[in-house]
Amino acid sequence: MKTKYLKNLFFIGGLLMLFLGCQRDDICPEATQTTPLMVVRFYDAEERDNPASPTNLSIRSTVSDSIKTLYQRISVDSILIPLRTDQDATSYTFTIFDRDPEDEEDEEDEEFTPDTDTLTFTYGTEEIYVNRACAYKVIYNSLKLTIEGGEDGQWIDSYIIEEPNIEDETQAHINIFF
Amino acid sequence: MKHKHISTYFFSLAFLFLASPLLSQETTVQDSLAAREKFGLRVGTDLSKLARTAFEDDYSGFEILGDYRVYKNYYAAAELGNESIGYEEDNIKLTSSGSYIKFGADYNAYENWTGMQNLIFVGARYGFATFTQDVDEYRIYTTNTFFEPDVRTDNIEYSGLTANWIELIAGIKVEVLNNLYLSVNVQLKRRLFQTAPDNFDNLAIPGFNRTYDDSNIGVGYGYTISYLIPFYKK
Repeated sequence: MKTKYLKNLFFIGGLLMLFLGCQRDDICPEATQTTPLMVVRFYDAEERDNPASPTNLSIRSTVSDSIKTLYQRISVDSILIPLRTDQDATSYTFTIFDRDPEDEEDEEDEEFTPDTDTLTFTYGTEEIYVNRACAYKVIYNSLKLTIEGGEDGQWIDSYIIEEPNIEDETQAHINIFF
Repeated sequence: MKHKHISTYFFSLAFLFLASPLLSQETTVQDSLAAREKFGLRVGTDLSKLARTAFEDDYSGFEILGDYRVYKNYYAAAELGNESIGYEEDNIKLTSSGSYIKFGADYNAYENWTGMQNLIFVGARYGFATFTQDVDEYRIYTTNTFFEPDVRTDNIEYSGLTANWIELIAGIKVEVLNNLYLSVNVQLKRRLFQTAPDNFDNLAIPGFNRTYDDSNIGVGYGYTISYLIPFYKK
């Protein structure tokens, strides 16, 4: 009688330790959809169905009063861009550097000036509780874009907002034609 | 985390300490004249909550408890408490505070030698809590580290929350002085219903302790001191 209940006691104790030892809900899993990035795709301004890659594109923004580079001279037709969660606007400079570095005559011809456009994305934010490990994420709505050209005018021709609500990264939110 | 280890350490020590009179009782000589058993109301408090209040910065709590021997080895039992539990994860920090009541029954499975009044008990409880969660700080989670972390420190209060649960409890009670008992117990809880805030969850519940995202299970322990007010002997 006595030993039976003692055994039960140890069994319950063992179960408790198992529970305490195995629980791992304190780390936010990578697979969890948290704050999404904005998906930007580039297309040719003439052949508007054709994806195109801007040559040596660099993207920069001001973070804590200093210029920080998000992408440095990449040539891809699709990029992911983070938006500020603590403000309803994020500004980036999109700089292309489309001089052919092997063409030496070109270098002698003219002084190199990179072509820079300033893109300001504005949006509304909404906080969503995910779980105890990830806490909150932010999703964006009513995405808008204003483009300001540099001294030589805009290199970006036009844009289309495909999806004004940014909730995940499964589709393009904005298409840029150049 | 450090506190958890310390409490585990004390818990183990307490367990050994309390078990010693049980283990050594075989050698005790008993007076067969004191064969009548006491019936009465036992009241006390949870020492572990007092200790945590004293030593942990983000905890304060108090519990009064009582049990009444209804019939042979059966006891009606209840706990009444108030707690303020600090709870912290990587991206969120909050305080859950409120009151709870638990009531149910214990069964003493221990056959005492004549004249002794110790217990090895198992029991069940129904628990109910009403509480408030105050989110002190949280961070907007993002996998991208381009911008500075977005930490929000504006205090958000979610009040009027409730939860109820059932609980299995097992432990030992040892009479260390005449009518004075020390007891340790462990509790396994299962939440039944709760009212959680919109766009948030109940991360800690007074009386239930921390919750888990993927289950309704909760755990707890108690280290109590209580005094038996004898009503009659039988």
